[in-house]
Amino acid sequence: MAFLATLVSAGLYLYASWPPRSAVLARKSGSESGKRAELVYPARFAFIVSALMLLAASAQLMLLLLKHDFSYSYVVSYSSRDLPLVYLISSFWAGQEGTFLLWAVLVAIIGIWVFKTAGDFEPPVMFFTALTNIALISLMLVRSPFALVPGEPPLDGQGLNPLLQDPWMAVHPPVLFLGFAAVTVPFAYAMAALWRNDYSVWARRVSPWAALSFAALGAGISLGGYWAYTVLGWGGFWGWDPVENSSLVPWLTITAALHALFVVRTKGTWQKTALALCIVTFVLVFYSTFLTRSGVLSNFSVHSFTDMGINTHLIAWLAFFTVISTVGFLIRLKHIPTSRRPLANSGGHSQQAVGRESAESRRAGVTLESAMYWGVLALILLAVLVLAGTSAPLITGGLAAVRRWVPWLAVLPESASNVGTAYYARVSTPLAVLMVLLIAAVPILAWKPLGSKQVFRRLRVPLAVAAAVGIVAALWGVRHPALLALVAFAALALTANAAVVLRAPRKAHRLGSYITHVGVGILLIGAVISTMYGSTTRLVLPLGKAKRFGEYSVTYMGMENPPSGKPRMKIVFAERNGRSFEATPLVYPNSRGEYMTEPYVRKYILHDLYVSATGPPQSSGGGRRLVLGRGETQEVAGYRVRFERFVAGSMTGDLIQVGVRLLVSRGGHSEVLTPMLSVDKDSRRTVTPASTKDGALQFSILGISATDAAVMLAVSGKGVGGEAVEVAGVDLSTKPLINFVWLGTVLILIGGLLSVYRRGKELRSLELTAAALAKPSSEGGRVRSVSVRRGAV
Amino acid sequence: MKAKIIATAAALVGFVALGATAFKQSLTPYVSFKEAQRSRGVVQVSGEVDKSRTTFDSERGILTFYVKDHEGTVMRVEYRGTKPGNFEQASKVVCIGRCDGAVFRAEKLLLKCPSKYQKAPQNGLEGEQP
Repeated sequence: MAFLATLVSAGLYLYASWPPRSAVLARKSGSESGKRAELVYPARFAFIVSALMLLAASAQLMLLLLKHDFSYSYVVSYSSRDLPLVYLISSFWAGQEGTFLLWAVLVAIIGIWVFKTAGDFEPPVMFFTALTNIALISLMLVRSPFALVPGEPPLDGQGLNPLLQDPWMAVHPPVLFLGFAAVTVPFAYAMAALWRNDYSVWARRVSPWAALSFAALGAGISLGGYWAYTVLGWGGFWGWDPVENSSLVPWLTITAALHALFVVRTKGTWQKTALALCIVTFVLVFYSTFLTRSGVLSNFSVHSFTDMGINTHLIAWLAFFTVISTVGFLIRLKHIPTSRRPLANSGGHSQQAVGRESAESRRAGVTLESAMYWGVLALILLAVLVLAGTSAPLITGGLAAVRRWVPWLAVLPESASNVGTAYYARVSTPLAVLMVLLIAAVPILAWKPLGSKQVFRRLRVPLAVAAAVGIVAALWGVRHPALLALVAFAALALTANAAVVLRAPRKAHRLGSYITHVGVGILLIGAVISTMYGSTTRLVLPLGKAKRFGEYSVTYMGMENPPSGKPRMKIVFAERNGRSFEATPLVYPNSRGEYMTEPYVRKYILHDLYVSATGPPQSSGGGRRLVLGRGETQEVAGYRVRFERFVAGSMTGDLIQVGVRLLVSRGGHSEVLTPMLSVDKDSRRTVTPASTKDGALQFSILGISATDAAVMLAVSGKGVGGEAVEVAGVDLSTKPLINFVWLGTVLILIGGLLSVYRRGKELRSLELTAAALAKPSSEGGRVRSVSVRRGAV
Repeated sequence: MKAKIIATAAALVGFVALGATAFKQSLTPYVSFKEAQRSRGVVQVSGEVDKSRTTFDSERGILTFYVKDHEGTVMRVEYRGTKPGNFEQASKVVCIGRCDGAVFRAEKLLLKCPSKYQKAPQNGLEGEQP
């Protein structure tokens, strides 16, 4: 079976590597001999075969999981017999090898779609698409999902990590990897444009794919965020964790690329920026794969993968893609058009594009381009700063290594370290302010032909709303000037853009970007308010004893262990008006005996109440332990106990004796007690307890620490509490306006999908007109005849 | 055009500077307890827990334990909350917080479990708050 699996993988590799070679030949031959163009067919065939093989491999892996074939280590590691069907399916992408397979399959499927639509760009575009899959498959050859378990296969698997047993986590990876796979297309087109030195059509062709990457990556990231919020219990939707950041950065660059592509389409400028951004996004996806899967961050992220021995391969591929794209870009640098009439020297096809564009570009105006300029700059800056933060352990580690060589450079850090979330908050806030201002400006700039009076009249409502939101936020407690500005400007941005959509609701499907911008405004307001202005209280709840939390009286009622489901704390929240509800945060050990917690979220329209256990409930009591620093006083059973100082005892021979002078008082009474501890030369301890005169309390030394001047005492006696009390620790947080985050995210995604639809439709109509107008020309003719023949088939 | 280039350069310089200072400030380095006592800010100290001397005050809800750092300094650590789930198994603990006299007040505890975990979030995040 293993042999078969390796054979499949090897076959895949062979097949997948076949098309690029032929594609290269086909491309090169295009201008030389017509025969070589025919090579497109076997190349296509090979690509389809490789796609089928990948699908077969996936089906195989899925089957193994469903059949519980525990002779395969992947099946053992990520599934078990008791998993429900849904999670059995999702265990496919629970591990690294499976996600690489998923990624490759998606690239293959997208690739088939691409070659059907790429037209004369097919050979180079498909070459780079296939190259991506070679990289992915070669990684799978090193870490095969079909590796066998050494020795006897176990009877049952280790199961899927219980935190991943969640519907959101079941769909998150496929969506995210669809985004990862989709960025291959902008990359492949950009590289193809460089390869052919033809920049006339790539931007148009690539736009729907860039929009798809934006939407899929965005959806993947938000699903992950929602999962982190409701299951992982980070207390927020975003933790600036390396794994999150590493998909955020490509999303930021693809967003920048979308804007750059808009300028390319409308004005013909910004070719270099758009090309670079499409390439960089793809390279960043590989870099983030490296960061999160190589184990370099395993000391710094709680959910990075550990090193699985694919580091060198990953680095090699990363370097390879970086080098070929950089070299390609530099070679063509001088040829990339920068003029405002870049399409003049290309075929009739693009002349058409110029004609169609002029109206749009006149409307867009020059100022919109400069708004785009600042917006793209802000997005790139944010991407760079987030990337720097995420790579902090690598950067500081590198600097620390430099310091070891050059010791006098004392500014450099001594060891690798991480940046806190404060870093991200500080760098992203000013950039976010800039972005919302620009977003607010977009509709105004689009009205440029209007006089300034009319502009102001149209802006009246948004400005009033922004001012109102600002005032309400300030009164409510948002006092930090930058954050207040962010909230108010985000309100301006959302109203100004919403006004455009509301003015022509029937055309909403053409206004994807405005809808996305409304979403950004809502998301940012929600993000600022929910993360910066929520509150968290840690409550320690003894069983059955009510404690106050705001308007609630909170009581821990013990653990529940439902027959189907995970163990949970039962906590009753009683309101003053007599109503009450039960919160059930989960806390349970996983297969390795480590404790997992999942929060309980009670949703309201304007806020969430977020309850998460800080750990399993604990027994306390049965006598008490008291840790006292010198001079510290604590109360035990109505007695105040003060640790005054250490008392040196006799030091005869090898026996060291130490006493602790305690002042124990109750009411007006106080007395001095000196429990002793002696240690002989063999470290044998002898404890001499001391009791109060009334015999109520007895103290004995459990340990002392001379360095920090503290003592630990065991206290027993009346009223100290002999019986154990179960105590639950919970964090109670309010998350104001968290629903704005979800609403904003959904709007961003809807806007993104509308753009995919619109750009795709535009492209099709453009190609139809182009085909109708096509004149057989010397170079294009041959390739076009290929596509005509394909059409006939 | 010239104004744009100048503005861009200014923006770039500004943000690089902002990024660099924020970067430097928010690096939470691993230090020893002795260094922690000298520093005022939030630091992380990693060390071994002396398991025999862990107490939990159920009235105040404070977990007290002793940690020995790599220099051998033992310090009393106080953490508000119940014992994190994997405390007993943890071979090493990372305390994030600040020194207050002879006591290290931990805001966050990260536990390093001896079992090597493969992927996915572990519960070492106990007590983490954004």
